[in-house]
Amino acid sequence: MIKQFFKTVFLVDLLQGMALTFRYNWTKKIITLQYPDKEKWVPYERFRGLHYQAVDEEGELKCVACELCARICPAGVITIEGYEDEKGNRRPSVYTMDLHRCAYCGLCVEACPEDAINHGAGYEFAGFKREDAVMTLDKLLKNKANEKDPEKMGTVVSARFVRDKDGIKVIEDGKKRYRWW
Amino acid sequence: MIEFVLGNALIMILIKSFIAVGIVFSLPLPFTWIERKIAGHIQVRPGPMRVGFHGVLQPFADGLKLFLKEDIIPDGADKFLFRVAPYLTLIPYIAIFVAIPVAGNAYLSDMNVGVLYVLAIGGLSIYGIILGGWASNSKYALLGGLRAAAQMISYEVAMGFAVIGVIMMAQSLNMREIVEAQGGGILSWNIMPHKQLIGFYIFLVAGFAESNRIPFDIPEGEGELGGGFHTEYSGMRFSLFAMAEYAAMFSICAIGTVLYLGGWHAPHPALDVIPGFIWFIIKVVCFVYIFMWVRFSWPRYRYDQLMALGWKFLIPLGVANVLVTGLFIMLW
Repeated sequence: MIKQFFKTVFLVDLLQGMALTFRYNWTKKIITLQYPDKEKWVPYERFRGLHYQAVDEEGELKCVACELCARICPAGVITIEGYEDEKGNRRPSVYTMDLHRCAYCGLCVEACPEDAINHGAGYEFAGFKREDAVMTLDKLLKNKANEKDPEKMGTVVSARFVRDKDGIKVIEDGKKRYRWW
Repeated sequence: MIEFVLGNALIMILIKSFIAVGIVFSLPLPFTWIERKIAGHIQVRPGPMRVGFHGVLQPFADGLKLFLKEDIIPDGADKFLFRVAPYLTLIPYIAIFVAIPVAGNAYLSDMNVGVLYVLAIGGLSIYGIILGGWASNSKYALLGGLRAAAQMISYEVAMGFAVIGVIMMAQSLNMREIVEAQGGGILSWNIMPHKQLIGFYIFLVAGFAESNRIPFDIPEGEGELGGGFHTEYSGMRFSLFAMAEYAAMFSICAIGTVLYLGGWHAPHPALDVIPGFIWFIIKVVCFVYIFMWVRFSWPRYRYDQLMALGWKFLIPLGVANVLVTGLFIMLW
């Protein structure tokens, strides 16, 4: 009781707080990322990022246009039209994902019997036009660049901010990489 | 020509005034950057980093942005008062610097009622805040203005009592003589416990309240009043209010340095080789750092707590401080 009174009178708790903030002020530790300028976050392996279409060893699409993903999709994102190619395999001629409606629930990936549609690690797909968010088959194949690399997941990598006629990008340079926690 | 300029008192005063006003007007630029950096580092983040080296040009970018914004005057506002209020807030703080001696021979005016003048002019700036809140014709702005008025009245009294102790020690109202009374090393400064430490504490707390900064920034109260008295202001006029806040902080720090930290005197007579105005600047910068440090360490006081602290604690303490100071001066 008396101790508490003296603590209040001499502002002990306030000064303790001040000491803490003073210590933070003069240590160099920083817990934020300098995202577009110097660093970039590589998400964890469970992350459901931008989709891509996988190909097999011969470079052919794995997709067999079974339309299970289109059936299970709760938002009706996926449109598929199948055809039979010269080898007699069923392949998609049109595979379009309208990501405006996509909730990234991951059901299409789980439903796929051929492991053709996958979630990558990409999260930078803001665009200037509506078409930028509509993923055609070509774009889905290109998105394979965002494939998850189990070694690198959950790290911070040094990066560079680029602004050119194609828009703005944050390019990893991989010079420095560290675990987040 | 040079002899004519140096010999003509009026021209010299004009030149000095231009320099003083220029300094006060350019101060918000480094202050905003330093404040944001300190805010960042206290919260374990880097602060502004993108404009220039470690964000040093950030204030210019912010200033340019505010300068180019549309100057919106609400329909229901009292147009004349709305336009005038930001200037009424800023100008008194510039006028304060007339009386502050930066070094033994560097001052604009050697008033023999300097302390009185500083407190009186500093109190005037509240008119700008009240009028700004009133003229906006918005309930948030009006509440902010009312809070500012109540707060200023409460803490002006406490600050006055704190300063009386210093005046009694120096036997003078002249700012220059108050500093000269503190000459001869750190032990003769008024901040020392055997001099006016309690007075300094009251002055510091009242100073936080006078400059409307956390922990006493309830006139702004962005959480509950959406910005308080400057809710309706935008662009240049808003930045004038922001500048007034920094000028207020700076003037409180300068006054505190003169009254309690020994003005331009070095901590030890041996260090007098360094010119006085550099010591003055160092002390003011340390003082400003305390203001910013406190801002990012403590939460805001509730309105009734603020009033209770002012009337029930600081003013009685100030009266007691005056009485004890008088007793000791009599016994010495």
